[in-house]
Amino acid sequence: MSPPRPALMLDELLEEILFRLPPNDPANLVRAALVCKRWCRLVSDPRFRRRFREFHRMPPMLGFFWQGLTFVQTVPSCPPFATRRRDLYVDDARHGRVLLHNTRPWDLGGDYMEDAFVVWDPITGEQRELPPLPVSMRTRKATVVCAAAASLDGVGCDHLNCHGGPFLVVLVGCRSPLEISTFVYSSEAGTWSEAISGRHHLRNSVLWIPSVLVRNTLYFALRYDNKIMEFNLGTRQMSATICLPPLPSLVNTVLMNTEAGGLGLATTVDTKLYLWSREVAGRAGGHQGWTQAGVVELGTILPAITSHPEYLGVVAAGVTVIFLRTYDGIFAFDLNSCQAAMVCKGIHHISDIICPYMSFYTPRYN
Amino acid sequence: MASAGSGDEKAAAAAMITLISSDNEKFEVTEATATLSQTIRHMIEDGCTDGGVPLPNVTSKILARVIEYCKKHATAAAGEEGSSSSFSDAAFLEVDRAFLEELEEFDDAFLEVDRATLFDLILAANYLDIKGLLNLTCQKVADSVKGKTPEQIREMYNIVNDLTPEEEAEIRRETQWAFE
Repeated sequence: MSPPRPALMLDELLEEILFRLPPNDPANLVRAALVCKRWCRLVSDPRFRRRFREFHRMPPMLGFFWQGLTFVQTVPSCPPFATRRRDLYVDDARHGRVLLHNTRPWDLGGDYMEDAFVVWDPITGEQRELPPLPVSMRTRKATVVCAAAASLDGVGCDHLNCHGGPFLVVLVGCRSPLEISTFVYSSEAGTWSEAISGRHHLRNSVLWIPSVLVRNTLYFALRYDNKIMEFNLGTRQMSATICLPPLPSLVNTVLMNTEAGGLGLATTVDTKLYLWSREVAGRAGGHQGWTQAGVVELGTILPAITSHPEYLGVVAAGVTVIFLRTYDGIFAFDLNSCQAAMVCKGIHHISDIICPYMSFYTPRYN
Repeated sequence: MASAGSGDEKAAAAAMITLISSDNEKFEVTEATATLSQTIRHMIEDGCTDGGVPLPNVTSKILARVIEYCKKHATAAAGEEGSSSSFSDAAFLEVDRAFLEELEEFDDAFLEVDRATLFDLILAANYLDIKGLLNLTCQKVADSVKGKTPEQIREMYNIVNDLTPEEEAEIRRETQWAFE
């Protein structure tokens, strides 16, 4: 019997091993590429890079933009970002792209729209300045998505690596009280759409908390109406039929994607974190289709918050991580391990705004 | 969940499969244990397991280990589909947790092997198409590479560096951040 060939000698098995390097520490792939010619060729291979992303299914969060400006890295390693317009603030980030604008994200009351948006890709360095919007708007929320997100159920792109592809910018805002309008910019057309309006008896004002994309629909929380506005990217229709579950305060609340792929919501009351989820099938259920998905007493996990519970709030949420504002700083709370780690120290603005950035980084060498 | 697993085992107890290692040793296992291997599952479906399943690529030493893994995980397999890690049940189900912890402890102990055995297990898991075992063993090697410098990886696995100094310098220059 001949001795079996060591597993490292078979490309297929070496791939299986290297797939399992953590995507949130991309320096590992770079160092693996430096082991020898064969490892370098394998790591750089487009097929390996694609399968690495598919294996991990979801791009890792590399960090977040704090107050629209500073990037706070939350992973052990991360490539330096490409340069960007330093005079602009980060408004939103999704599918590897970042939306920049010159309005401070916590200061959206004034007149607006004189200046253009810029879409920036921190990994590829691509920057595109959008033409100015034809109208002026007051309070608003803008968001960037891969153009394929408009197709039903996201068919056409898995959003694991859509850097450089076509994108949409969706802007929801109020031109006058009781009138919410949406504009869509398409990078392929190079223009903004006409105003899309719905018949709503809404008191105006869109919250600046992050919008959420579920399948091909964007969800925006409306500040004074306790409602959620839906914008279907496929049909380009908007509606505001979803009521929020009974919440004491929207200030401490964010919308989120649930692990099951639905719409969720995270909020804090006193020292407790409440998670809600809304499944389409449950539309007719109690609390307008919302079900409470979990309650976590944070006081035992983060004892420090009990002395200043008034500062506690949710500032952003990924599928399994909740960003909590506390008196001491910002903590990332992992829903699976129920552990919290400080990611930003000594910041306790009640208006903290953070914008997580997710992307794979897979090196390629010739 | 545990009781459902043992019930399944009882049901399958009648169907025993004989596995034959490369050095001609015979192992009697239940069908539930054997079918963790997709390769063997297909053979059973095709009705070609009479007289035993010859596994010319797996030695008796490795096959014994593989069977040990499959036995433990066969009882787990029935429960795995039902459990989910979504935050809705946020791992607060104590029964699930104890069961998963026990399985994790087993896996950790199972991986306490020398490097040659670990690679033999990877080859066997790949040949027999046992997803869980392949994942477990490959993750162990990946973890050993994690955080290491290229020099340390080469030394650990006896790999000769055939990159020219120029190629190496170029990569380091392009991705300086990965070496800080």
